[in-house]
Amino acid sequence: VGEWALWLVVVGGGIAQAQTIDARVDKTRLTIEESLQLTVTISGGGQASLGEVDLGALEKTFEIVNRSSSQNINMVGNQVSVSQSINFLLMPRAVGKFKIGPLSVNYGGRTLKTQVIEVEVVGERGREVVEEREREGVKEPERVPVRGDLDIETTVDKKEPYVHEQVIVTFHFYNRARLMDQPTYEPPEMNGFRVEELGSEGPVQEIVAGQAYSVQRIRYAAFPLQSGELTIGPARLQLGLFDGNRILQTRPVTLKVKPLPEGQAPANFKGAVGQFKLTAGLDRGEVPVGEPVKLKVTISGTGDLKSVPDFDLPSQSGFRQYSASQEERTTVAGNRCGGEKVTEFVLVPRAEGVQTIGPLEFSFFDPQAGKYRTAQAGPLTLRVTPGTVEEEGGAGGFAPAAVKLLRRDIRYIKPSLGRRDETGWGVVKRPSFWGFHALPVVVLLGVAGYQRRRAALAADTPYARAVRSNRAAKKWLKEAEKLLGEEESVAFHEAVAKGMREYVATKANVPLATVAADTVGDLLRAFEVEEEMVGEVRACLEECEFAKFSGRGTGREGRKTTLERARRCLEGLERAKRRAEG
Amino acid sequence: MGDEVTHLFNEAADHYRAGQYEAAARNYERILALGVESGAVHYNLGNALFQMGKLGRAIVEYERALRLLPRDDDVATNLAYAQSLRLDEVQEEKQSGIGERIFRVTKWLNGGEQVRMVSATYWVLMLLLLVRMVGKGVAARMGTAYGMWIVGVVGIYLLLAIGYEQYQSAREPRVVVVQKEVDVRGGPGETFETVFQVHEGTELIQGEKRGGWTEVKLGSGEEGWVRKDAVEKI
Repeated sequence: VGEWALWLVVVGGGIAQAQTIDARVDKTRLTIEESLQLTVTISGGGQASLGEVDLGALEKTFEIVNRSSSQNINMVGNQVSVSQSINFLLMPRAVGKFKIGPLSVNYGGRTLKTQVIEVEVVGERGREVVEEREREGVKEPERVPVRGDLDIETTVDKKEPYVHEQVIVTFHFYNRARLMDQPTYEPPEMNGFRVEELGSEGPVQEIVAGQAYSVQRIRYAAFPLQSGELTIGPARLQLGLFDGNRILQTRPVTLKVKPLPEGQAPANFKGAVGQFKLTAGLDRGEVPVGEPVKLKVTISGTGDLKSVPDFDLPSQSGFRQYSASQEERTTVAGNRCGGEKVTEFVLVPRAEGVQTIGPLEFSFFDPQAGKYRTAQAGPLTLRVTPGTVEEEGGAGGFAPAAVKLLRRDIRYIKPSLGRRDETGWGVVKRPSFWGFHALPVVVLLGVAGYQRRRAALAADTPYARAVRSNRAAKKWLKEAEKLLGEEESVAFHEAVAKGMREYVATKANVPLATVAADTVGDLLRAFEVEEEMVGEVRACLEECEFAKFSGRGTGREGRKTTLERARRCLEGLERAKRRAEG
Repeated sequence: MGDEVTHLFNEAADHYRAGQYEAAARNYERILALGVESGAVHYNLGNALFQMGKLGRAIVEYERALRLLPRDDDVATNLAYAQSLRLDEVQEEKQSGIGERIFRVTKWLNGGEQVRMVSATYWVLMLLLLVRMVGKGVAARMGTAYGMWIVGVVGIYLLLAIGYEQYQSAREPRVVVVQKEVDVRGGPGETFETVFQVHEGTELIQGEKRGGWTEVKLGSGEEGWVRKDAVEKI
């Protein structure tokens, strides 16, 4: 943040015209943890707006925590004087002597400059005393503040904890001043720690260095997550006092976090740090073979519960063990975090008799003792009875007894693969499935068509005749074709003539005997056959009758020509029939 | 592929006999990955997972095997035994509706048998129709008419039962918890509070999916969201 603008319009008449600028600080000597209030004032301003304040290099040496503005109008007789102020709350960034200003302000087109103010920032008082005492080995968890009416401090209960060991971080606020409002607290940054708030205390009255202070404290449990140097950042408190706002800031605290000792950890150590105990119990002491029993394992104590891994139950011979449920409960006792982690297992005994579970073990690192420890629970005993007990009955003699079930177990695997597509739904996607099921539909349609045709032949005489005439004619012509190579041609001509006569007789629905070469013309004309075709048919019949009655046959070629002529006639008559039918 | 499947199956049986359940389970999973749908493979895989202590996944495989071998006593027995080992004692069973009672036949038939039953009904119906068309006499016509009515009703019942089953499984797909303990949260994210917990093997009804989360419902009606890898669909 380098620039800040305030637009302020001064209104009214009779305003004094002489303008002066002034910069003031509330103190010229302060410690690195104290705030400094800087006020820039323009007096006797006219009807103009106050422009941007150029802070120059001020932000390199001070952090600007807060800014505010105010206006003051004074009337003395007819004279009205107006002053405008901008207040800055600054926190020093370093120790040393610094110059504030000259700060420049644009006002009504003019640039006004403040005078230069020198301030001195010194190291914190009392630090040397504390560090000296720490070197002497005196534990100083709650260091006595020695600075004025207001003071804050962050302390820790140990400076060299182990990884995951709890460190109590305490923020102290000492006050014997009157505050305008509730202070605003900004907690310290604790990167590299898992932090849980333990609670707050106060305000309580305490006598410190002969002075009565109202003291408030906020405590945290911090668990370092890695070894090496870790820093607890500064906490801040913003206070509203009668003479302005003030910011207090604590020193950062650096811890030297020790790693857990190497090479000494038990084999089953998995990172738990604290003081823990292990308990285990079964939900019943007697159970039939194959019936489940619940084993509850509890790890409880103080320390970083998050570092406690899930309890891993070693394989117990004589039992089949199943998945576990887990429950974690965190508690705070005094300033110590802790709790319990409960894991539940289901065990199924395989055989009857007295079965033993455990002893169960859990290893952790005790940071207070600085060594690894192993907690034990058990061994637990479980009386396992047969699955089904048949009462012994009968008075004397040998009575057959039912087979005793010693344990319950799943049934064995199947030895054969069985069908490889038992879902069956895949077959529905195959075209062959639908083709197979379309088959009866095709058969039924065929049967229905056949029946319909038969019914039509039975009911419609002209239709039936037409079908039969063509069929009969074709039959005789086929017979004639067989006689083509015979020596005797009379039979050939009889077959051709019969085929044509049967066609015409059936079509005209007249006896066969009435169809001859001289009558066929009249019969065909009734069916609107063309005269040319009528002549052709008649000629064909005359040729056949001549050959038949004269006994003079024709040669093979002649018979072939007659047969083709007869076929043409039949085709012509069929065409004529189709034309007539439309 | 046939030889490979048989080889894997036999090898898995050898592993199982030797107590090498993980190796057996791997073989069975490879058979399924080859596209083979066999009740015996699902059942045997369930056994191997059960022996490994993976109760949830074992129940899933037994349920899948039961769909393919609905009348198999071994499958039903092992499923019931695995379900008896679940930690969630109060397992609200879903009330059987009228539909489920009426169409119970599908619980006794696997998919292939359902298809074959419907197909057989169809063929009998077509045969009766053919006889009716070509048959002569009142007795033949009356007999085929009654037969067609009976077979038609059976066919329609089967089709309705299959349709109802398909509709139910699509509407309320079932999932099984396959992790030891699962937090069921109020919404699809870690930021939502845990409303209840379920344990391995518990069956839930699956709802909608959102991101890496699946909505689930208990038979008793409680609803929530779990990470999708915490449950497996049957």
